[in-house]
Amino acid sequence: MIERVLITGVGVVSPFGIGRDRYWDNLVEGRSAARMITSFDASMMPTRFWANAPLSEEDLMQQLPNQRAGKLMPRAVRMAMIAAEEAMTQSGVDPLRLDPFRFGISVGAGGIGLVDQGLSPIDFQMAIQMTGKTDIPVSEGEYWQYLLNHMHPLNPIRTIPNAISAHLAIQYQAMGSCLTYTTACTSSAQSIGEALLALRHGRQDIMIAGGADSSTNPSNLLSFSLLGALSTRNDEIQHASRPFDRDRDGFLLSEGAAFLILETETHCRQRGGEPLAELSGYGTASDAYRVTDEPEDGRGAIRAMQNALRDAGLTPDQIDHINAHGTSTRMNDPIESFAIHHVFGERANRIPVTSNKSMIGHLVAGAGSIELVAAVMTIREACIPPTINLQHRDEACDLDIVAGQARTGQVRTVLSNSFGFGGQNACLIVRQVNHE
Amino acid sequence: MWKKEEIEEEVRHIVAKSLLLKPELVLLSSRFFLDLEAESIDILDIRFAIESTFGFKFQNDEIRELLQVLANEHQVTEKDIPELFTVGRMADFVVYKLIPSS
Repeated sequence: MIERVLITGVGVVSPFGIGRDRYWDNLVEGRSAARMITSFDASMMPTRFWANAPLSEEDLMQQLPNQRAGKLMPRAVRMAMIAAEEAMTQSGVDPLRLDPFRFGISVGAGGIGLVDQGLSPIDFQMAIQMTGKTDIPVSEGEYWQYLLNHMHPLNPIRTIPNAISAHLAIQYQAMGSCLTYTTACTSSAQSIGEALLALRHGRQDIMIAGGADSSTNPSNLLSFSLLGALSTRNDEIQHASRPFDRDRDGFLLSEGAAFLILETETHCRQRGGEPLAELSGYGTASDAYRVTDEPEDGRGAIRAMQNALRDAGLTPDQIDHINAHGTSTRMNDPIESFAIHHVFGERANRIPVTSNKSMIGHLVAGAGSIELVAAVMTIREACIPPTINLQHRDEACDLDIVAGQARTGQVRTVLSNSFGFGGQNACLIVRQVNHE
Repeated sequence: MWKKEEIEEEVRHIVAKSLLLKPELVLLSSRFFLDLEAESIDILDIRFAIESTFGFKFQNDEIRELLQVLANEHQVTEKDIPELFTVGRMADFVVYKLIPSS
């Protein structure tokens, strides 16, 4: 039996703070979450701003459902636990009344390990050279000996890639599938899509799906700067993320978490749950081209959207709105526009398109899930949040961008795109529940 | 120089901090796994904090030796040790390292 899959709860930690309502209100108001970096001296960096969540480690710790487990959680995991708890509460599910073996977890996670692992050998050598202390051991053997003596023993376990899914499973006693997808910027879109497949084909009754990432740290800022991926508009940071604009120069690095409760229709009805929307389609495809370049023919993006439409049993005419990947990089926006034109044909420039990244920036592994929450709320609230900072639309982005101000009106179906390094492409479709 | 009572007090506080418990709830007689609901990685965390605080490293063969003493005392096998392992016994290890004559 093929099951319909319903979304019954959503939870968010965004660069605006904790909670889906705070996230949504700021999106609709068209506010930028960009902030100057104050947590370290970034004066030498080409980019000196980002969109971090305005929450200290202590703030996050206080909000955890189980604080004792918090010492094992780096920042991304803490944000994930808080977002998932909000989603669980909204769904009304009592985890202790579920069949634990049919209750699963599916998480998109990013570079948790890279951030928290502490010193890499190169960092360590550089630090020693800078201090000029030649009496500190610097041979490779001594270096490893130093780490053996000084590294905190919990570091390795804090930073395992499946930390989020493991902690969620323990917190909610979910003993079914416990999955982690690490596919760069498509991670959380894929985690939700793969959860859809598991539920639809009867492998699970209910899953917590979504993702989290925290790249607002010196190491990731440096890495993305070296790749030339970030906006360097340091003098007007609120206008730095400008998807589809002629003068865009890169993305706004951010952090956060978003989780959704996904249930089969049967399970939801049996327990008397209230669906927010239907998760109706998922498509994925690889460019198989280059690691960071997208092919100009948009082949992977096109195929992902086409697969999602087929999966949902919808035609292109039935899509009311597109929540774009829309990164504000030179490369992504025109190729995504081209791909949308290819899939939607003549209707392409009559479908309202928006990019949440114009306001919240790029959550990397968490981007797909937080944007899918926006898509769900767009359907619920009959309102499409704006794409801010679109002053001169790039001619290569010939789309109906919801520029400047939110647009109200019924939205029954939303297609949400996520593309990532490595040539990953994933597309999800959400639909109003009573759409017949 | 540390005194035995000071070491015991410090170890109780280290354990309380690691397990997010009020220090008054951590007794020398508290068993890590049964009373304080610790897990194995908590012991690693506590061991690291103790070594940093008191400025020494436990050697693995020392730990094995001390656990063997504990097993003999209680006439149990080594696999039953974790259940017997108390905060006071942890403090004893530190006392043994810092005040060898004890």
